[in-house]
Order: sequence, then C-alpha cells, then structure tokens
Amino acid sequence: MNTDELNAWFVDQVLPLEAMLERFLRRNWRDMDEISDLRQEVYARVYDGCARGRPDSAQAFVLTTARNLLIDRARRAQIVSIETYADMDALAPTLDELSPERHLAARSELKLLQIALNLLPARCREVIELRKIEGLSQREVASRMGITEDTVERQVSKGVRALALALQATGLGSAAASAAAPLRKGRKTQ
Amino acid sequence: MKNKELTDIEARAADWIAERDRQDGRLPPERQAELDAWLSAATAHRVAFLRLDQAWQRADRLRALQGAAPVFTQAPAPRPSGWAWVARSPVRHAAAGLSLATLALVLGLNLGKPAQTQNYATERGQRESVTLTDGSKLTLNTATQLRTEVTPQARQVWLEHGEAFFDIAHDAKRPFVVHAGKQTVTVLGTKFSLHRDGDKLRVAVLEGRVQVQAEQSRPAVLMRADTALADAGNLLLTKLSPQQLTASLGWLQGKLVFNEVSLAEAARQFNRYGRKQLVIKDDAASRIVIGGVFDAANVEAFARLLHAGFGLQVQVQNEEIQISSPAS
Repeated sequence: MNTDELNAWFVDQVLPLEAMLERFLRRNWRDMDEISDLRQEVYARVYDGCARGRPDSAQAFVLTTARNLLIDRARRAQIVSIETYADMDALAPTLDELSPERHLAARSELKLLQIALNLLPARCREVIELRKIEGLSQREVASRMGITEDTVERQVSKGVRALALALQATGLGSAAASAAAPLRKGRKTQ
Repeated sequence: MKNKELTDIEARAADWIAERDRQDGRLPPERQAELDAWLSAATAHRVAFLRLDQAWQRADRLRALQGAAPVFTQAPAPRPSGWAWVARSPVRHAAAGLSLATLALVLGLNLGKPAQTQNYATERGQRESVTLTDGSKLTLNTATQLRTEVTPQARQVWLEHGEAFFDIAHDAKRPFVVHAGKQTVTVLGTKFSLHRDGDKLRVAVLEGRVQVQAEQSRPAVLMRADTALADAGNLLLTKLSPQQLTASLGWLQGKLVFNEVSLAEAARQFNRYGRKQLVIKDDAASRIVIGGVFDAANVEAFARLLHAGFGLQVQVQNEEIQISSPAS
C-alpha cells in the first residue's frame, strides 16, 4: 500500500472511530489529562501497523491496539489495577457500538459542526464562518474583516485545532456536555 | 509522549493546513516538499496532520448553512457601484463581490467587440479533447455540444447540452465562465465536470474552487469532491466519497462506474453512449441493484453479464436490447 492509499484508508476507516476510541480510553484510563496523548499514540501505532497491510476490520484493530497500549502503559507505570484489566477484557460489547453511531453521526454531522462552531472564540469563529459557510478565500476574509492575511492564517490554524477538539468532544454523544468542559480546561494552549 | 509534545505537533500540523488553505489548497512545490519531509519525519506528525485535516474538511459541510441566518458580527462589505447593485436586486452581502465580478464580466463582454468563437460537438458514443488558446483543456463526453470564446479579457463556454470535463489553466485576471442554460459556473483555475440535461446541471469538482449560480438563487462555492445538482431555481449540494468522485469521472477513460445503482439507472447511463438502447421491460428487473466497472461502448457485453449473472432474459430487436425477468 503506498502512502496515499494508506492515508486515505486511515482517514476513511480509522478516524471515524474516534468517538468510540475516546470512550474506550476514558472508560479504561483514570487520568483524563492523558487521553489525547493515548489517542495520538494509538493512531501512530495503527498507522505504522497498517503500513504493511490492511487489517480486515479497522475497528477491531484500533481497539486491540488501544487495549495493548493501555496494558503497556499500566505495566510501565506499575499500576496494577484489577478494574483496569477487567474492563479492558470486556471488549466485545464495544464492537457493536459502531454501526448505530455511524448512522447517527452521518445524520447529525451538521448539528455537530454547528455546536463545534459555537465553542470557538468569537474572532476565530468569525473567520471560520466566512471561510467555511460563505466560502470566501483567506484573502477575501481578510479584506472583509479588515485584518491582515497573516492574521487570518493564524486564526485558521487555531480554528483547525479548535474544530477538531470540539468535534471530538461533541462526537462523544450524550457524554458531550460533561466531556467538553474538562477537555477545554485541560488544553490551555488552544 | 507528553502533552506538550502533542500540542506542539498539532500546532505545527494546523499551521501547515492553514498555510495550504491560504494558497487555495495547493502549496508551492518547495513548501509542499517541506511539508512532505515533516510528515515523513514521524508517524506522530502524519496522524496528527491527517486528523486535523479531516476535521477541517468536515467543516466544509457548514456551507449548508449559507444564508440560513445572519452569521456575521461584522458590518457587511461596502456596496458595489450602483448599476451593478440594481442589476442583481436580490443580492445579499455575502459573497456579493464574487458574483458581481461575474456579472460585470458578462456585461462587459457583451458591450465589447464580437470575439472569436469555436463550436465543438461529439456524436453519441464519441469522446473528444480540445485545448483552448489559454491552455485550458476540455474533454467532451458522448453527445455533447458546446461553444467556446477566449479573448484577452475573458474566457467563456456555453454548454448547450451533454457533459464535459474542464481542466482550466489558472489565470486570476480572466475568470473562466461556463454558461449552462440558466446556470453560470465561474472558476479561476481548477478541474471539474459539468453535465447538462435540459435545465438540470450536475457539477462535480476534482480540484480548486468553483462557483455555481442558478438564475434565481444565491451563488454557491464548491470545493474538492463537492457535487451540486442545480435546476432553474434550486441547488443541492453534497460531498462525494473518493470512490464516488472517481466513479463520476470514469467516462474520461470510457468507463461507466456503478456503485449500488439500480439497473434502470445503469441502463439510462448506457443509453447516453450507444445507438443500441437498453430497455428494461419490468419493474422487478429495473430494481436490481448492481455495481462494477463497464466499458461504456460495449452495451452488448453488459447485457450478456446480466444474463449470466442474474438469469435475466435478453432479446435483441433492431436497435433495442430488451431485458426482462426470467418469469415474465
């Protein structure tokens, strides 16, 4: 598989599982500050693991990778928590979570995005709205708002991160309200 | 990995995405090479980039909100000159600059000297490529007729009927305008396809940005993998998956690509190409869902597959290939 194919596969098959992965990590790891690091590490392992060949089921592969990572981390940290292992072995129920979730996600994608948009800081939000809703180019956004193109580019960079974060939080579904707050607090750099 | 490290990686990835976005989605070669090097340096870089880029592209869906509610906190853009404002009375401030530029261009051209025009047409089943004087390349699909006009001031095409793929040479000073009945499509430099069937126009974008304007509605801006279906007054916008995008452009290689379409739709597609027409005789057969890649010019082979694969009955009468369920 070449890089383009691998990238496309990763985007199509792995990234849509983010909400499921987050839930799994949250359920099985105590320190919420480490969730995004763990997610990133799972992605890197999955990506490297699939460079040699695609697994039959991306979902099973992601969950197995996540499970192994948590076990590695737990061992390294010498936290031998019985409940950790117990929960991690209960992988089977999570496997059924996906299909209704995907269905729901497709239906309410726009809703999710609207919520995500509302979580952005005002100026950043305005840039993203002009860029994404009105379809203006960065140059056009700059002249509309009377700011420099460099500023627009910086706001877009912020917006990219904030959108991903907000989508991830809102993608958690019913847990969104409780999840979004600590997430935002925990990432002061955003 | 520590939180700080991830935050730094994400900041860098987001900067790249923002920079590329500023360049209309295409980085200059030397910057692209730097990005590629950064991505290859660590899988951590690559996955962070892919994830953020996907979030950024998902946000394209927000365009469905266009015109839904006042989203600006800022004052509207200064009004353009009076005549243009009057000429397009339902103009709303959003995106007005762009559509007015289009209008001015069209009006300006009509006042100018008669320009050099070229007519191109393909027969049923034919496919033909033409290169315009500005370097843009047009590929005409089956049974297509269009007229082109390239002057130092403007580039225009009138799509009378049929389907064409446009690979437009970039020229910021001369927008490329395609007139398709009541719709107008405006681009600077990009790749996209148009299929006109009477008042209906289907647009699919492979690269760059394309503005579509139906007579009565506000302009919509389409980006990569967007597809729009426009009739006289409405415009429906959706996103294509990579497979769908490839499928919609299969005809460039003379292929019809079906992905879970009904036999009735497949027949409709085939019938655009050949003199021999597929006729599906009963509902049960026309509802069969099929998929695959087929040679657009070889409808007989397709019919044979229907017989072999689904047991359908195939009867040839003059220019008709009749398909029916085995029982009927």
